[in-house]
Amino acid sequence: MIAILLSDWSDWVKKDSLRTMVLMIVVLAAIAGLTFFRPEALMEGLTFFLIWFGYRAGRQIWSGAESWAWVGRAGLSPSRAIIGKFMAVVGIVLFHMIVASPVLLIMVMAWGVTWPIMGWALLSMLLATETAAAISRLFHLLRPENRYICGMFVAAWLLLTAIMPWLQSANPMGQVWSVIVPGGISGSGYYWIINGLMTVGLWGITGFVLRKEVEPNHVTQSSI
Amino acid sequence: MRRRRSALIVGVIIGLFWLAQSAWADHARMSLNIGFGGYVVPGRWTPLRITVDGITEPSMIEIRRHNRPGLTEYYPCPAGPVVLECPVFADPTGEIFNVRLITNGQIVTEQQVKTFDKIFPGHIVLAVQTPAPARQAVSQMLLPGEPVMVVAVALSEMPSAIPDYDSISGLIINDPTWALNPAQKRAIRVWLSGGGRMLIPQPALTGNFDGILPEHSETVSVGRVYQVGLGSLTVVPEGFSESTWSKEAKEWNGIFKLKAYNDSFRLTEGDCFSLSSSEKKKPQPAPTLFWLFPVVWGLFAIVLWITKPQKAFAYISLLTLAGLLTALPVGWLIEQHWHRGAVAVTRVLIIPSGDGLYDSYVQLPRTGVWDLSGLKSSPWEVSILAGREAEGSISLRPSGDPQVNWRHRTDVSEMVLATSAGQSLRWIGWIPKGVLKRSLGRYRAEDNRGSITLWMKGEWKIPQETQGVLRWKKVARCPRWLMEEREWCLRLTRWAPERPWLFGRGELGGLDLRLQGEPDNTVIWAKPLFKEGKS
Repeated sequence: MIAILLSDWSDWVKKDSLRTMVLMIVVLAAIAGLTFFRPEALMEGLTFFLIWFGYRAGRQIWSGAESWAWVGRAGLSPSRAIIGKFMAVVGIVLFHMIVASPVLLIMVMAWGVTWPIMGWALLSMLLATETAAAISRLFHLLRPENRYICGMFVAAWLLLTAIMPWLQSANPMGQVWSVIVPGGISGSGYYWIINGLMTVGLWGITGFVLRKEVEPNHVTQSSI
Repeated sequence: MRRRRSALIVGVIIGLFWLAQSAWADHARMSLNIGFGGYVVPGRWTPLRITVDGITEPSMIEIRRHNRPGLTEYYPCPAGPVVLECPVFADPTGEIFNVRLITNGQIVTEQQVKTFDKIFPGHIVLAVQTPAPARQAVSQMLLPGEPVMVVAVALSEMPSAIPDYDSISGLIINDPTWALNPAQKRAIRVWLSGGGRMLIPQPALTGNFDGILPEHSETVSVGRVYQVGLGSLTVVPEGFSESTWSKEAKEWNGIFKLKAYNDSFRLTEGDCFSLSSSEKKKPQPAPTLFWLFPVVWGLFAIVLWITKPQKAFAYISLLTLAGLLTALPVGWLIEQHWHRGAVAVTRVLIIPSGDGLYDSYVQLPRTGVWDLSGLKSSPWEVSILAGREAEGSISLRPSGDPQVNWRHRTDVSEMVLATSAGQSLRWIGWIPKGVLKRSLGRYRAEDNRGSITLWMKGEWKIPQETQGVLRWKKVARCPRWLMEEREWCLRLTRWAPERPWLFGRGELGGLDLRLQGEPDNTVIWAKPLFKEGKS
């Protein structure tokens, strides 16, 4: 698990960090400059960016070794591989937040956003990223040859939760908005329940699929 | 057989009756009552009583002005039968209030009340258990100039909210039980301090006066007039008798000292607080730092992207560290110098009882609506906190009209929204006694800018301490900082010419009256000075 963490982080730093970091800084700087560090604008921008990052993380764009490679060749159990991948995403998201922190700090000081609100908004983003990564990861595992399928399902998740009235409280953009504007400090409880269960469920299914996919190879290697 | 049928019919009738009663009991009912005796004094605060029955869980009362839908107030409404007293400002041009009962986010019932159905632009005197001849005499005391409206009320109907006494010019309490609740007593005390006049006949003296007269007052005795701040409490030696009072309307005016309505002073915004042109400043533009920081930060990132250095990750880490170190002073500077797009002026008038009146003027900016999702406009324009139990926010709608939300407790009414004109808002309200810090002594006022000035008998004075004794030194002219508020100060002295006033500027210790995170909010306060032992 630790090896997966270090490997993913190392690959991200080498292959993708400059692109995503620079893009995030430029996007946030543009929003900050245009809207005077407006909290809603900045936080919505950051949420969207992190969801995009989650989609890329699910597709393992920068990863040198896919999950099944770890299970098949390194002999790791699927659950450990999944947890490793999950934690790798958490780590990289936290690093994104640290890089974004100068802008967020000015936003907090200038607009009087309280720290608990800020914390809940960042936690909401973290969950949204993990959900996006879980969707993307599962469909990339099922249909690795189709490069559009992951993006389509992540977009469908965002779209459905935005359109369907009974799912709207699970929309990450709406959640961050409701946390930032006065009201319930942690936003909607449904957001945490629906997306939390969905993330856990999707990562669980991913582990199950992974086990099925790599089992023959594993047996072959063992028999050899 | 017939008996059984009759029993069945009776049973069905009883069942239907029970069902109807249950349905009625479960049905939420609301009735509205505004003013005193249905009469409303235009341009004054007046009570709006909302009687709610038939709700089984805590709800919310929403009061929305028909002409200004952006100015909305919310009051919590407990379950069960309840009478809420909500002070509302009766706009002189007439106003319609839409009152909604909201339970679990659903509008259960909605009603409307108009302030212009029964208006009385004059003095209203409340009379408790006062004989009809005396009421008639009181109603004639300003004739032939103008009539006085005397409204007979029970003690339990006396308002509990301080602003509701704004419409009342006089008060006669002839009820020996003196069964007022603490909120009513406090409201009467504040009203007296602000210039109200009350009369109590001798029999009422057996009651409890706690909470009406100042703490250091001597024992109440018959035949005396007690000064309570700017008002007075008169204890008449005799009860009401037709022979004494019914024919002596002039004697009544000797007690109440009412002037023609238009010449009267009250503790309202129009009399105490008036905005000078210098206060209507344009919103301060956002500092250059707002653009400078993101531009520098973003450009540095783009340079990294173009050059693609070998240690890109290290450079990004360095950029983050540098950004964090820079963000603290930049954020602090922005916080200090930026009004978040809104200019606010707050003034506080502390009246002798220890309570106070305050006035906040907020000028919202013309820019700044970022309607990102189409859900609602941003709430981050202005947040106002007052006292301990009240808070609210002002934001701009996409149309440019301000949207105001305010929540406060029903029993204290610390703050009520006054007026709105375009993109400016005026808030006035009362500050309860306990909110003010005790450290604000009678002759000592701390100001974070070190500016204290006294205006006494036409002279400007500043404090000067020599050998531990504080003296007021006469200065040739008004200090510059106070010149800006001179109009307001002069208005105060016109309002109560016999009183010296202590003025201050800056934060008032212990008073949580500010714009959220707004350090430069101008707070001007004034306090009348009284000699020790007298109120």
